[in-house]
Amino acid sequence: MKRDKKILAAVLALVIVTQVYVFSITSSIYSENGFAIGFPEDANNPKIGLYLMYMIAPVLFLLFFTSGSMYEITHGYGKILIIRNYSKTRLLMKKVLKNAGVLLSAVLLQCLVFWPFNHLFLPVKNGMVQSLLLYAIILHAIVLLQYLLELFIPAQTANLILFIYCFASCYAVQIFDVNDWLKIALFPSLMFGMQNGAVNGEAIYGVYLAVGVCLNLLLTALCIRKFKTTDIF
Amino acid sequence: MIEVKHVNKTLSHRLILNDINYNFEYGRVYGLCGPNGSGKTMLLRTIAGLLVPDSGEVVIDGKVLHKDISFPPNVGLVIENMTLLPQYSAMDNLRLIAELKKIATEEDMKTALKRVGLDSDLKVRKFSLGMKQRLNIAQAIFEKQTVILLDEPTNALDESGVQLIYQLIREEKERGALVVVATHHEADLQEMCDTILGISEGKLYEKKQAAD
Repeated sequence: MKRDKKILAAVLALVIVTQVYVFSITSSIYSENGFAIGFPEDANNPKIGLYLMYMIAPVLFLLFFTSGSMYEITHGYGKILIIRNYSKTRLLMKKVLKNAGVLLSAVLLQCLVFWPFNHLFLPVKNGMVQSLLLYAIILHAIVLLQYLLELFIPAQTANLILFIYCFASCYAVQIFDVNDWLKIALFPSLMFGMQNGAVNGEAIYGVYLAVGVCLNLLLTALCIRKFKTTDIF
Repeated sequence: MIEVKHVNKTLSHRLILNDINYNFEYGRVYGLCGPNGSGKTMLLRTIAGLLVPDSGEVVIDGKVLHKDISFPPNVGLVIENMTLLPQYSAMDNLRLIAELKKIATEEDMKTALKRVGLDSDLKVRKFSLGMKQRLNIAQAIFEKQTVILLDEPTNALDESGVQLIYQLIREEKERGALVVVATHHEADLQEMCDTILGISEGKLYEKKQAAD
């Protein structure tokens, strides 16, 4: 299992490096730290779907990395802990925090890899820190949604559903003029600074930030509640 | 006493446990036999608190499982896929588990390993299947558990190992523990069990009751 994780971590790093390369040769519409910035709302390019795919590719690999987390604690060593009255909440939270650390490391790695090449992309004058912050928060919400789904359906199915949802959300919000409520329902699109208002300094950013934090809290609470009544095999 | 009251459990649209009613008493050994897929393992897991029944309840010493208590207070369990940490030795595995409850001493751990005939400093990843099974049994008894649930405990054991485990079960009974042994080899249960229970298509019935 540990060796699998090391391989997945290496693949994730490779995907991030490839992303920088693809960004630099594909199009001039990518911004610096483009993975967290996205495209302007009025970006009108026939290949926007493909470019979005390049944009969220690391998310797919991150989901592979965290995939199976619930299986590990409902089928593996967790059993020995649980029958000794080890708190299920504590067991779950340890897993959540461990993967949050992985996720934070992945975002930092993205920043580090992009840093020397950022001069090749469109400059972002404002809201870079805010964009990166909400990017990490939304990514974590997606991972928490993955945990919740895994408590109901197999990990591979959960991954597939999530990736389709992420891509469809980002694509729909990019192409169509959606209102704020629909944007919240399609929350993966909020990981981009161009969509969440961070880059343009819009007041709605504060609302989306609050939504991101609330989503994390809500999904964590739902995971704990479901895990407590989940059969352990 | 463990009271199983009208327990039903369905998995993947299949009724695994069908209105199970039974009282298990301390100081007795219960044998649970039935063919593969009959529901033995599911019943053990339900008593251990790992499965949540769809209806009915498991009452342990007057406390309702999943209502008054999350898990039985002191249960030892051997079931399939009891993942132990492969990078540690048998003793270190027990030490790590012991950290949770802090009721077992180093001596308890050494005694448990001796009782299952495991004397090795090797890492668990280098263990044979039989050695892993012995370690599984050791973790189910080293804290002097009052309820011991063993699912196919003699799997992967050689003949001497099987006899060792039978002896261990008798000793645990003498200590006052409630032991439930599930197996599809009924002959294995005849000698050491006070009561033999059959389970078929999720229904539990008594096959043999030893004279007290």
